Amino acid sequence: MADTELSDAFDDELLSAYVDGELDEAQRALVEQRLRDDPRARQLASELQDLSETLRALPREQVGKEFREGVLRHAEEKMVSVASRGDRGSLSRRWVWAALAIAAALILTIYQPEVVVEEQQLAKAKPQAGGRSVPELRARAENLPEESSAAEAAEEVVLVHIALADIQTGRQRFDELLASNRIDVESESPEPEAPQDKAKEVGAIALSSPEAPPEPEFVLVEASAAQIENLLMACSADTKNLNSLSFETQNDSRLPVDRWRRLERKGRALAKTSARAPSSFEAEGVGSAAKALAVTSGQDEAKSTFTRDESNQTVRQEASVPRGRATRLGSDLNRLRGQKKTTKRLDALVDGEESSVGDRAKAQQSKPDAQIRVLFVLHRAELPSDSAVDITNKKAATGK
Amino acid sequence: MSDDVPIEDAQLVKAVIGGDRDAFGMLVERYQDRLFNTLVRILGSRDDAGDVAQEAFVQAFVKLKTFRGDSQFYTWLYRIAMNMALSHRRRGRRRGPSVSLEAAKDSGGDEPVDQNPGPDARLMGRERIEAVRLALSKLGDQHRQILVLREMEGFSYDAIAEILHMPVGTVRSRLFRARLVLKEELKTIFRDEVDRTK
Repeated sequence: MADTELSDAFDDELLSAYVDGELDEAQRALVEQRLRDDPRARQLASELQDLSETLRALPREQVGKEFREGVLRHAEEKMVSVASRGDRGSLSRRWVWAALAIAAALILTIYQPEVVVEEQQLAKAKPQAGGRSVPELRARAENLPEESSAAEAAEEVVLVHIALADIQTGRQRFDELLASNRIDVESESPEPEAPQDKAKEVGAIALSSPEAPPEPEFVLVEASAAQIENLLMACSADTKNLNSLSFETQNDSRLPVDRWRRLERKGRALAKTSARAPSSFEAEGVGSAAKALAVTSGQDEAKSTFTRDESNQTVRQEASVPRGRATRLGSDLNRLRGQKKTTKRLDALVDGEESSVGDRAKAQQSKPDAQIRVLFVLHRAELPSDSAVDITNKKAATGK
Repeated sequence: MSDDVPIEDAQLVKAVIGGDRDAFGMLVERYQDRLFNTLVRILGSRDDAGDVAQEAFVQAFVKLKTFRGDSQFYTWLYRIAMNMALSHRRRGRRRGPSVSLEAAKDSGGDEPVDQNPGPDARLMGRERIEAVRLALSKLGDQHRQILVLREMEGFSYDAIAEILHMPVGTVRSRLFRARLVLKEELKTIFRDEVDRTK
């Protein structure tokens, strides 16, 4: 018991950094004390050290003799090519910007639930606590790695909002679920830094005031539709750490997200009839929601890879979307004009209130192993009680 | 990196901008093996690593005038190369079912050649090397990338932060997560191996 308590209060990341010799004096002393007191920490540090030595011992590779001349030849050819067409600049980062712009539009509506903002006001609205202005998000996107050209962009980015009970443990849990479903992170927003780290960042954006809620984190992943679906089911099932989940897809989505769509349509439809009061689809909606989010009971939480075949639980979801979200989103979109690709994609989001039979058929035709991109927006679950989004699991009526 | 390398790099960069072709050749020679080794581990293929390394050097050459010199040349070069490597992997996945890192190794066609095994490498059993390679191939791209930069290239957290353009705190946490995942993968591989030999 004592060991467990010790472990809970200690950040194991420090052990990893200790093995790397990347701690300051105070942190090193803390870890060394920990190593004296906690056999589990000693064991983990030893394993990390072994792992490190094993990797370093892998044989090294060398290029062939002709490599240098090949580089010089190609470099000269490239220079001639660039000079002949003129440098028209790079298309880099466009897809990242597009994805974050979607998040920007939604954050402006979702993360300011207490501020009743009409379309005209929203157009002039400044960022509130926990929200981000479009220029800010654009600046953040500019700080993401280069060379992610528009040509490589996926046709569609699915946007998933997840509210975490606690940012740190929730994020850790989310990372575990990504790993257990073998999903790569393509890009993610920087984690909060200590002040000295923040000061070092070039072009870093000023963080929210101390009173402001933690800023949302962005995680962009690419994975197969089946992996994404498993991840969504796992997230929905983890009611302890991940409080809510909602998502956005295009109207003309080619993704196999028919079950997701049913869930999403319900949420949007309810938004039309409810201003700020909670909306829920506990009754008729629960059927599709349950089917989509059904999970296996009694599974190993740490390694949960979900399959629908094993479902024996139903899911109850309460959701709320501020009134006029879609039209306000449209207003936001107007502010994003000039980014043609982005606007097209966002317009599709606004138009995506209803999905046609054709769309569903198309979605069903999608290949389960097709690679898709999903932008997760992780934020702390602290919406006002009257607009809280909650998912809870309960045993199926079958009594299993 | 030795302490005097940055100065020499800076001089070479200046010479290249001034039109000295040989100076660029020296920069290529200085970093080609190191960068290539990193890319082989990240991409799992000597051919792909060679292509991306060449592309990265060419890109560095073309954009050298934009290199402001407030960072080291090699971190700037690595940053270009790492972004290209991830783009290369994404393009490969989008092209459809591709030869995985594991399959490439199994086929023998892309089997990395141990041209310069160090004493530690000789001590590592062949099976263990294969297990580590396999485990690395099973990681997500970003986990594999950060592990290679740290463990195989010995970059400091600050240098990795600069290369991957992320805060040092993110480097620390991602590296830790990557190690945990790799540790689990290795356990699984060794367990499967034991089961097979029973």
